[in-house]
Amino acid sequence: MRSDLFERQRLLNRRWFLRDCGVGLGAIALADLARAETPRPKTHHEPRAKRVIYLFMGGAPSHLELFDNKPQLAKFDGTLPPPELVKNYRAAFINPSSKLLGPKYKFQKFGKSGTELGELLPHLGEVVDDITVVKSMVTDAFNHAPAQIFALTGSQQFGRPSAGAWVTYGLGSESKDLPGFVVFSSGSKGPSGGNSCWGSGFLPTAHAGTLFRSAGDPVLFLSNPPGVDNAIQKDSLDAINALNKTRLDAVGDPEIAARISAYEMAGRMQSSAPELMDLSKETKETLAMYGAEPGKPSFANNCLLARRLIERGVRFVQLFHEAWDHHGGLTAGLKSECGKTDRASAALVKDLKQRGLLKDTLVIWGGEFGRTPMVQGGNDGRDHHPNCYSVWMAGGGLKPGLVYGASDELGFNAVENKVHVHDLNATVLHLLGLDHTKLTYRLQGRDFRLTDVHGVVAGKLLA
Amino acid sequence: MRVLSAHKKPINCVAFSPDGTQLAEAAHGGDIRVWDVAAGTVRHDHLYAYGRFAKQVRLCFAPDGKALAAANEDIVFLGLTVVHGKTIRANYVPFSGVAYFPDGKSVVGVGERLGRYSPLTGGAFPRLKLPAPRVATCRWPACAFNRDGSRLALSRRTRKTNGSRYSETVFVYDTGADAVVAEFEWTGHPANRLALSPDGELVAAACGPALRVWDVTARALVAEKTAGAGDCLGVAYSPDGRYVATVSGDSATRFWEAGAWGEPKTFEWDAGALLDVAFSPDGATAAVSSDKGQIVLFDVD
Repeated sequence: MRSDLFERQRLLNRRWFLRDCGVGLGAIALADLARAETPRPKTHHEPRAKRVIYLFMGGAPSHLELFDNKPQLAKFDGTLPPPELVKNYRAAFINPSSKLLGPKYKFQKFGKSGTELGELLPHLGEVVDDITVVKSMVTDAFNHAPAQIFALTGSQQFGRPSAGAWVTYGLGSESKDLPGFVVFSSGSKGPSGGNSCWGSGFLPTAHAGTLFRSAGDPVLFLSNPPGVDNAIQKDSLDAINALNKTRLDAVGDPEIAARISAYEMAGRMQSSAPELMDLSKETKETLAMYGAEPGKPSFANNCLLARRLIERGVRFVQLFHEAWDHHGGLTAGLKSECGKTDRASAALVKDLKQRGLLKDTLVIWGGEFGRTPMVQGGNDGRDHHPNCYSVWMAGGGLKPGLVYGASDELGFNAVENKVHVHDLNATVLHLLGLDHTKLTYRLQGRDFRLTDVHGVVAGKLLA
Repeated sequence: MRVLSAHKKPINCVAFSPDGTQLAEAAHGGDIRVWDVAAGTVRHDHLYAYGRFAKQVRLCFAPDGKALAAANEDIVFLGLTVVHGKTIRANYVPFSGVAYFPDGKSVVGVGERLGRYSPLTGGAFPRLKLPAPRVATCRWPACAFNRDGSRLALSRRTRKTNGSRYSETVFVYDTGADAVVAEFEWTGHPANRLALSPDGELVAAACGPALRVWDVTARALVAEKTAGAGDCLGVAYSPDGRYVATVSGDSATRFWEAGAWGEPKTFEWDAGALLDVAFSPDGATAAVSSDKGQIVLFDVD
């Protein structure tokens, strides 16, 4: 009795505060969700890109076989690294003074820019003049989960909003029938960083990435089960929403507003998703360019779906391909994964360009760190390496054909124009018209941002 | 939240100008610079406090904001007063703390000795009337004024006659009456940093790992808190008297609610070890400095 009284008093107080004080958290949440679904013209400066497709290569591909040609590494294959180079170096698994391992694949120059790429990336070579290669990436973490979470949230600890969540929080979405932030996963498993890689953290839940399947219904149980027709489903949803709204009015929890929004979005997706996922409507030439096969989940399908999503106004599409952790079996592993990803990644750039979308779409390809110049796993593997790795980007406001930054002779340390993970995130936000120092969210008295207290825009990358 | 950063060296001291438009920092090596807070740009750079190898420099703006006093304890001489762009006077005495009297005509310097000087001529003023230590060996680690300058807190460390232990004292000095109104004595860690509440009724001290707070009128210790894992390196009183902020060489800034002295509000910044903290004069902003050359400015709610 006593506790009921207190509970009632507590709710009345909350109700009064939430609904009648003019602060209405429920209303705020709904307004926030509404903002999330409508374009926000206000940016901090003129945007160069409107949307992002982030091809995240989980497991960390070897920069030494794919992007960063090091003849000296080949020359000193089988010898010990200079002691001063590995002094105080902390590797994940190997003894830092393990012998050097020469590149397993040759490099060749592509395009007018003459950019060198590993021979496993012939398709990327076809679009090399449209991409920007950064060879001087550095990060703070040397294990997969913290490094992935760090790359995508700016913190090694989970709980912070992901880059996609920050972007949709800042810019909203142009799609009313699809989530503003969509995620696909391919490869041998999901990303080591788990859901944190696309979570909303302390931002409203509406900004979290929605994990899509690459074939069939994009999310489970989107289609009505047998025996449930549209009328029954509408009645059910109306009843659920009415109950949720009653509860929202009573307690003002923004998460209830997010749930209402999710139901409504699911309802709209019942009509929009089948059309989105139907790759059979793509031309044979397009399917061949990507290497996509309708109904068969693959990285290629995900790339093609990414293009279709951004055509429909989705702000941020993130593809995870977790397959690059080559502690051993480097030679075969790289060949296999490049075989799965090179054609489609290049096709995405080509396709976006052909459709006039590349100029305001930012494409990013990269992992969470690089691989050691030293050997692991007999004579055919490399350990985790945070000191230097490579990514490439294309489109929206970047200098095409540019190779930015450089590593030392062995590809061990980034030595020229270092780009830290925070710098990359600052640059991505900058291209989208957002100042990374101003895109903040206050939680418990403290302003948070994607780059926390770090990050410098890599201005030389900008066109 | 904003970040000011011009180098990678540890910043041991930050101080706001009285109007809040400028923020002075002293970096490891004695390198002093003054920031324009609104623009986030360096207004004056490389104002050396006489000694490029100085590790610890304490700073204090003059009441008119046009001059800056700097105390440097790790070398044999001291740059005492710096005016925009040039040093106008140096006193060759090692000091560990400095504070302007509210009239701006004199500064108090503490360190191996306690003195009151003219910032323009370096000439000494009459001594403050403080109880003389019973022993010859003493030093003065820190000093701080309250908001209107009516009270001055000073910490003193004396070696006892048997030579084996130190005795620590904090004095609260009434500048109008020219007399000590309270003194608190203990043995243990010295009070290396001090902060007075705006009304001068509470004095907070960083004593090793502890934050100690005394009530001047009641002449009683009202709070003793472990401020962090390491030694408390910075302490500041918010201008409205609501909070005492501390930093302790980790990534956290702790805001202790005055009066309650319960669990502090903690704000973590991934800026390295935090070395000093200061409040803007309007109390709206706090600044913390780190060992990685960053100053984080953040709103105080």
